[in-house]
Amino acid sequence: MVYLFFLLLAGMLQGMMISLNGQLGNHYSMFGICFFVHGIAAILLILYIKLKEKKKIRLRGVPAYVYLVGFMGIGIVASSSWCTLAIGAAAMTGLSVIGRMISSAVVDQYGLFGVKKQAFSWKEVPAYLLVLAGVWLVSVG
Amino acid sequence: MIFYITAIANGFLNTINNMVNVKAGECLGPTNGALINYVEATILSFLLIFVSGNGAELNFSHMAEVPVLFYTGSICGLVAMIFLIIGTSRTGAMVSTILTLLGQLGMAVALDYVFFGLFSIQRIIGIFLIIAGIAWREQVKMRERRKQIKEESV
Repeated sequence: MVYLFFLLLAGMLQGMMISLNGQLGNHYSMFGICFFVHGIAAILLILYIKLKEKKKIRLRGVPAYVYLVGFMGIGIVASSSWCTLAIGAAAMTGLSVIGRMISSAVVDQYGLFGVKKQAFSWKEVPAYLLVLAGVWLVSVG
Repeated sequence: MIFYITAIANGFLNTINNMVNVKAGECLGPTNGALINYVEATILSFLLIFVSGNGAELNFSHMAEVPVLFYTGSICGLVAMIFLIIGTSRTGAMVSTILTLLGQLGMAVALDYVFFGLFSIQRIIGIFLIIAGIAWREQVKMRERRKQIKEESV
């Protein structure tokens, strides 16, 4: 039971993160938001690796395409903050869920990034429609 | 309209980012793997602040004017990651997806009310429809996966 609460709490904290990052947009440019969001997390993570895990910091030894994560990180934080200020955190989160559903279906369909192939099933369509209806209600409500 | 399209594109980016982060984690371990994202994005955004002519916003006096609470978003994100790892390891992907989404949307609705004064019963119904849709899809996916495994083993 406590693990279910942990998951709920994780989601609540993610919701808080999106809203608070969006509020930073009232004071900073999009790149300013990205700088603080990633910079604070980087410092905390370095402290965790050094003090708790007592490991060496390693940033090398990964395939070249992995180094694109920084660009993607900026894209994700900047776009979510920009949209949150304009349409609210709930609508932003709901629409992002649609994007995640479609893209994960594409990844599964073609087995991208080494994921096991799983063909799209038409039985999933009503589920997509339910999510779409939910996002519409959240956006216009 | 542009905000709606961007929000959907944000979801696309999230999926790809997660996949690439998993790869980084496989090579360097979860924490060092995650650190690549944060260090790289910090350096890039620092440079982009100056390239876009917004260097003045890094003045200490300006930073001090911003409520401290607004800087704590990334701390929330890191703590969430820890809870997510612990919770998912004991429950499974489907329960994890649904509960985190429920928490995320619930908090988003609450904070939209705090920051923007937005609240309605439609929004609450909308959240439950989204959760129901995700649960449905996960159920279908799980059934299809089981069927696939059965067929492969025959």
